[in-house]
Amino acid sequence: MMKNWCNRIAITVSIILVVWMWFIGTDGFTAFTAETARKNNLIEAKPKFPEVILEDSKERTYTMESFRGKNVLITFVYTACTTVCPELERNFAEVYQSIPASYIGEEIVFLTISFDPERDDPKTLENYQQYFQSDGETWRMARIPDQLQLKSLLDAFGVIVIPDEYDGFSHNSAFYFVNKLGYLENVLDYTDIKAASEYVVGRLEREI
Amino acid sequence: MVHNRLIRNYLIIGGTVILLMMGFGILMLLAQGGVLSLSPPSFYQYMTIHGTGMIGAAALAASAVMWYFLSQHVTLSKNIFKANLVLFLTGLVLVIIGVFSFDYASAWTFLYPLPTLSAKAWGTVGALLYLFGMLIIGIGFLLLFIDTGRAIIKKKGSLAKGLGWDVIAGKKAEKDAPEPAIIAGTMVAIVNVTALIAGATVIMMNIIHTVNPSFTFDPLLAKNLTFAFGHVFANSIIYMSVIVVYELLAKYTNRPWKANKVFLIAWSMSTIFTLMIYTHHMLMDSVMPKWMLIIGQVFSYANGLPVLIVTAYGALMIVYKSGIKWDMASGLAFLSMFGWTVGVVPAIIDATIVVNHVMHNTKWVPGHFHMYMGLGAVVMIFAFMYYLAKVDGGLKVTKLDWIAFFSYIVTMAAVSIQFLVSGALSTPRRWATHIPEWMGPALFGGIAGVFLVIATTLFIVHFVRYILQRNVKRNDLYDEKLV
Amino acid sequence: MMKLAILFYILLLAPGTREGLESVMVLHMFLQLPLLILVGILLHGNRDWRFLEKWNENGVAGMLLAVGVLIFWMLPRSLDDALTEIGIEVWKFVSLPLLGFLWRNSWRKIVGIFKSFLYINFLSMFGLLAWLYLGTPVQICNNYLINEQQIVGAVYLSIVLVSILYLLYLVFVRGLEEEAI
Repeated sequence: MMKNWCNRIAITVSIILVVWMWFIGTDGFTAFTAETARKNNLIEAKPKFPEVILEDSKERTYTMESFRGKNVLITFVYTACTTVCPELERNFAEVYQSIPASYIGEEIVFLTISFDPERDDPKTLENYQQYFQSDGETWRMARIPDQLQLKSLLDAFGVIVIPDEYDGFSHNSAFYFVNKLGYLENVLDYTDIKAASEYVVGRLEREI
Repeated sequence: MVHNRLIRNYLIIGGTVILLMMGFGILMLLAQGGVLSLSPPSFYQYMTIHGTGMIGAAALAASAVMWYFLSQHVTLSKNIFKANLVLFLTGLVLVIIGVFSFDYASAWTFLYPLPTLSAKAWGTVGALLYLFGMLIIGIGFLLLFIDTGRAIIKKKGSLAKGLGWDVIAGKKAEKDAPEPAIIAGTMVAIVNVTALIAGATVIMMNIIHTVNPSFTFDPLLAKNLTFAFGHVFANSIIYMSVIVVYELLAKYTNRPWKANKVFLIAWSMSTIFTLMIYTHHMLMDSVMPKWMLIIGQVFSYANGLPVLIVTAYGALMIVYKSGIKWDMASGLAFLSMFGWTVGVVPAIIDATIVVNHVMHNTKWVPGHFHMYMGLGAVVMIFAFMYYLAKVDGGLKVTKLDWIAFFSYIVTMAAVSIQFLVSGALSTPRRWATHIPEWMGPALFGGIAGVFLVIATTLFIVHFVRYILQRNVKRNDLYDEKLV
Repeated sequence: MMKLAILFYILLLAPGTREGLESVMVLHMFLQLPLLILVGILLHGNRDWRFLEKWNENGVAGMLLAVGVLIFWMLPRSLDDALTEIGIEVWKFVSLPLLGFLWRNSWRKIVGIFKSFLYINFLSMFGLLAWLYLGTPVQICNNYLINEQQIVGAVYLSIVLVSILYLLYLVFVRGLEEEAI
C-alpha cells in the first residue's frame, strides 16, 4: 500500500517536473527555437539602433540620425549569398510595393544593410539594387565599413552571422521595424509577406 | 462472455455517431440540392465533421467487432481496450470544439498546408484543437493495435505465423492454420500500425507548421503520408468488420470456417496491397514518380479482391445446403458481402489513370466510398449488433426490423447511386453550391437519406432494446439473490 | 562500472572534448548527448538501487521523466541555448546522465506494450525530425550552419530506417521475448 503511494507520488512529481522543464525551456511554450526566442526578446527589449556610420550605394555616408522622424524597415544580407538573401530581398520588395506610395520616403524608408563590407562596396551594392528595383533613395542599400561598428549593430539586433566553408555566411533573417526615434520596435517573419505588410501599413496609419 | 459491456459501449457510441453523421450528410445534400440555404463555411464544417465522424465511428465499432472475436483466441488487454474508448471520446470532443466553436473546416484529410493557411476562415486555435484531437484518437488506436499485434505474436510466435506463412510454406498442415479472426487481426495490426506511424508524423508536422509557419515542409511528401495514413486506416475498417461474417456463418451453420492455403495467400496479398495502393489518391499529381502511380493503378485493381473473393466464395460454400435459418444478422452479413462486391467496382474504374484524370474530382468518388462503406463495412457492424443481441441477449427481431432492413438497402443504394450519377454528370465533389443542372441527384439523395436515417434508427433502437433488456435481467438476478 | 562512468563523465567535461564536440552540430547531437546518456546507464550498472523499488515501482515515473528530458533535448531551442547559456549547459550535464540512469532503471519494469508504444512513437518522432532538418529551408539552430542541420537530418533518417528493419525482424522473424523491444 505504502509502496503504491510512493509510486503515485513519483509519477505526479515526474509529470510536474517535465512540464516545468518544457515551460522554462520554451519561455512558457512561446518559443521552440532560439530564433523565435531572440525575436521575442528583441521586441520586449526594444534596443536603440547604435551610432554607426553607413555608406550607401551612392557613396554617401551618414548615421541613423538622418532618418529621424521616419520609420525604417531593415534587412541584413550579403550580396554574394545565393540562398536565403535573394528570397529575403524579393519578399522585401513585395512589402515595399504593397505600401501606399504616399507613405514611401515620407513616413517610411527601406534599408538593406550588408554585413560583408569587404566585398559589398558601393559599386556592388548598386548592381545588387537593380535585381530588386530598389531606387537607392526610398529603399537604400548600405554597408558599415567599420568592423567594430558592424559588430555592435549585429549584437544589438541579435543578428548571428557565421562564416561557412564556401566564403559565405550562415545567418538568421527577418524584417526589422525601427521607429521614428530610432528604436527597434518589431521583428517580422520574412516569409509571411502579407502579415508583414499589414503590420507596417497598420502601424503607419496609426501614427498619422 | 468476454467483457460484453465494453463491446456494447463501443457499438452504441459508434452506431449513434454514424446516425448523427448521416444527419449532416442529409443537410449537405439538401443544400446542394438547392432546397436548404447553408453558408459555404457551414457546409465545409459539416463536411469535415461528417468525414471525421464517419471514419472514426466506423473504425471504433469495427475494432469492437475484431476485439470481441479475437479475444476468444488470444489474450487482449481490457485496460487498453478501455483506454482507447476514453482517448477516442477525448479526441472527439476536441475535434467537435475545433470544428463548431473555432470554424475549422479542412475536411477530414487535413491536407497540408490547409490547416495553417485557410485564408483566415479559421484560426490557429481551431486547427490545433482538431489536430490534437486527431492525434489523441490516433494514440488510442495505436495502443489498441500494438496490443493486438503483441497478443498474436505471444500466441503464435510472430506476425508471419499469424498470417499463416508457415502453412503456406508447407511447414505446417492446413488443419493447423490460424483461425480467420487471428489472420484478420494480424493483417489489421500490420497495416494500421504502419498507417498510424505515418499519421502521427504528418499530424505533428502540421502542428509544427501551424505553430511556426516559417518551418515549411515538402507538400508532396506530406500528401503521401496523409493518404498512407487516411486511406489505409479507412480501408482497415472492412477487414476488421469482416470477421463477423466468418464467425457468424460458422456458428449459424455449425460448420467451422477453416482457413486453407488459398485463404491465407489471399489475406497476405491484401495486407501488402493495402499498404501499397494509397498512391491512387495521387494519380492527378503529375510530379509523382511514374512507377508509384502505376503501382497505384495496378494494385488498386487487385487490392480488396483476394479477400473479397475468398470470403464471398467461402460464405457461399459454407451456407450451401447447410439448412441455415435466415435472420437479421445473417441477412445483413450476406448483404454486406454484396455491398462490398458492388462497392469496389466504381473504385476500380476510378483507379484507372485515364479515367481518374476526369473523374477523381467529381462526385463519382464519394459514390464509391458511400457504397463500399454504407453497403459493405457498416452493414457488417450492424450485422454484429444483431448477432450480439441475439446470441448474448436472446432478443427477438420484429417485423419493423425487417422493414428497416429492406429500406436500408434501397435508400443506401439510392444515396450511393445519386453520387455516381452526379459523378457521371461531371458534378464536382466538395462544392458547397451547385448549379441547377447538378441539383436533381443531390436532392434525390437528400430525400433518400431521410429514410436511410429512419432505417438506421430502427437498427439502433433494436440494439438499445437489447442493452436495456440486459440491464433489466441483471436487476432481476439481483432481486432473486436478495430473495 | 561506476568508476568507468565517472571517468567518462570527466572526459566529456574536459574543455577540449566539450568544445570539440559542441562545435559540430552532428557531433553535439549524436555523440555528446548519447555519451552523456551512456554515462547514466553505466552509473546505474546492475545494482538494485533499493529506494527506486519503492519510488519507481512500475517504472512509469522514471520513464515519464526520462522521455520528458529526451523530448526537451530534441527541441532545437535547447541545443542552441546550451551553447549560449551556461545554465542550460549545466542542465545538459545533469539531466542527460539522469535520463540514462532512469531509463536503465525503468525499462525492465514497464509493461511490454508501453515498450512497443515508445519504440513506435520514436519512429514517428525521429522521422518527423529527419523531415524537418532535411527539408526546411529555414535555419533551425542559429549557432549552426544550414548544411550541418541537413547532416543531422540524414542521421535521423538512417536511425529510422535501421529501426524499421529491426522492428520488421522482431515481429516477423524473431518474435517478442519480454526484454526484446
